[in-house]
Amino acid sequence: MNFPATTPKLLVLGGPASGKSTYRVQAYQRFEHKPGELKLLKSVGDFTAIGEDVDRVNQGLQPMHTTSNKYVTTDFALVDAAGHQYDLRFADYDGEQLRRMSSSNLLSASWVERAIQAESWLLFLRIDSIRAVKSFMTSPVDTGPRKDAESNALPQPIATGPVTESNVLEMLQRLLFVRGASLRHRVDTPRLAVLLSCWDELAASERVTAPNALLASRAPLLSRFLAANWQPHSLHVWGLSSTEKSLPKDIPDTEFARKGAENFGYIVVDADSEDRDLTIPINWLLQPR
Amino acid sequence: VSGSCRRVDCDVASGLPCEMGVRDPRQCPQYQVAADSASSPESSRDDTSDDGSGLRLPWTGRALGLADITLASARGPARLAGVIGLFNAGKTALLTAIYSHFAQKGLVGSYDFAGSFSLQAWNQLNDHTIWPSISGGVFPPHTPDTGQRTPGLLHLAFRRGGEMVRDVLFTDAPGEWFTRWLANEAADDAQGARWIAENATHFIFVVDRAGLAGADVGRVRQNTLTLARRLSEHRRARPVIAVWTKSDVAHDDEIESHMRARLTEYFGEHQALNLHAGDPKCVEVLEFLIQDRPEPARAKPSFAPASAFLAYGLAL
Repeated sequence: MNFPATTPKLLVLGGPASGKSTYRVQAYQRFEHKPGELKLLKSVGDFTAIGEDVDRVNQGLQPMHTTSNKYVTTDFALVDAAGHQYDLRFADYDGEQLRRMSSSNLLSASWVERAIQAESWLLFLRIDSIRAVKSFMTSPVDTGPRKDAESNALPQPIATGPVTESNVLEMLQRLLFVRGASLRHRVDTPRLAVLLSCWDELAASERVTAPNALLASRAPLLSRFLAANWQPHSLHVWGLSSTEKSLPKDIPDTEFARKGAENFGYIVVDADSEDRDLTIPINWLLQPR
Repeated sequence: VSGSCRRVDCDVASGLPCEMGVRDPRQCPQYQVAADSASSPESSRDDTSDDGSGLRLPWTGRALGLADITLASARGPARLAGVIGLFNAGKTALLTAIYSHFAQKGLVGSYDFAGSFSLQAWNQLNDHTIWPSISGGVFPPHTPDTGQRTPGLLHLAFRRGGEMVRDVLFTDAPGEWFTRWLANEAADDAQGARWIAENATHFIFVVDRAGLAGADVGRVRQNTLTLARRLSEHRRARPVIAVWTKSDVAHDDEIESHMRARLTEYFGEHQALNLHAGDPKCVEVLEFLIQDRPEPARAKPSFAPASAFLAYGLAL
């Protein structure tokens, strides 16, 4: 059975190097070559905003860093197993835009509009490198007066370090606020899918935990913030490995290229439970309400 | 956009939204564009740059001011925790410890962390304790006494299950405010302390245990007790918790048992915690603030109808 196509609005959220571009390429490869819950209804009309990335991944190279201040989109005509059709606009941009969003209280008109219109939010988090709020327990406190000679010897923190838990919290608070969500009650809309990217780069002990549990241990404030402000049925956390290994920048991984990009990558559904269908999170986001 | 507003109560110059509700400040008749920014080139249009079309959110992440209380109380009555204590009693260190320990789990009892309008301010406090850190890992600096009449406010929101969100604000005021309030209850420069005593819904009374065991014990004891008494006279049955800080260093049992008896005299039976910055039990202060307690009898106006039925009847 076929339904008339809907045009769901997807808001892609992720800081620098959070895996947005690679996932977009690999999700496309699945739509096109190895359909799961979602497949392409017809070929991609305008390939310009994703073509170069697809080309690189097919050669066994990582996508190039998205150009600063660019916001590009590619449209996919998709159909799910039940016959629902979607005209999905899938965006990519440089993640610095989101980092800036958390450090200034100014939200550009284009981001305000995206936040208001999108009912499906897809958040990418590099859970292996997120910097959580530190504690007295893990970071003992020197109760004495500051000794300049000693502190000079300590390594200085870098201003543009990894994305912090607080950055992500502030970004979500701001986007929810402009939607008019007072958070008096837990929100039903937008649906939020969280993808913990680069799962393959985690320590072996962490790879066997459930994604939700890993989020709670690595970023406890964020984990509770999500549970506190989204209805349980509107929030889902998955682990993600788009290519199963980190692809090189310059010298192609020919083994990867020979086997075919569409045969790499998995979604972590639960502890020790993986699924090779990378379209699962998008399909969950797009399902009719 | 850089410039300023002729209205004294408008903070558009410091990046907050226009007080008159104008989306692009340059369209507001009260606004004066700074001379040097009037001719900025439009060519460098950035998705996050300020071309006047963007939206200013009403919070920056820094500590909140008095006007911002409306932000935290728009969703329901916010609780305001007045943190009261002498200079060097450990008020700011206590706030830092509460946030730092709370952030390790993101929940207290059955209440989840549900957001904060002052994340940046909390992190600034906390950065002083990260090891190795920007400042070499020392306690937060004393809160500067800027002479402002309202303290900087820190915010946390909580939620249990599908209930409504609960907002809690904390005052982070310099000890000098309370010293002046001690010296003269009605002093002009004790307005900040009076504001806290008048508006807080809960009080956290901070006692410096190390001070009571130190060389300056006489003065610390005297001022702590006078401050407790002053507070008790303004308390109006609002809940109070005594937090005995710096419990990881030597303390003097004899003086303390005397002090505890005196505090009970002023506050009645009250909850008391012995804490130090490294103690995860610091989050128990949050439990004290979030939990529901029966409304104190004195707080109920006597003319209020006893039931909704009666209220309806009176309206007829």
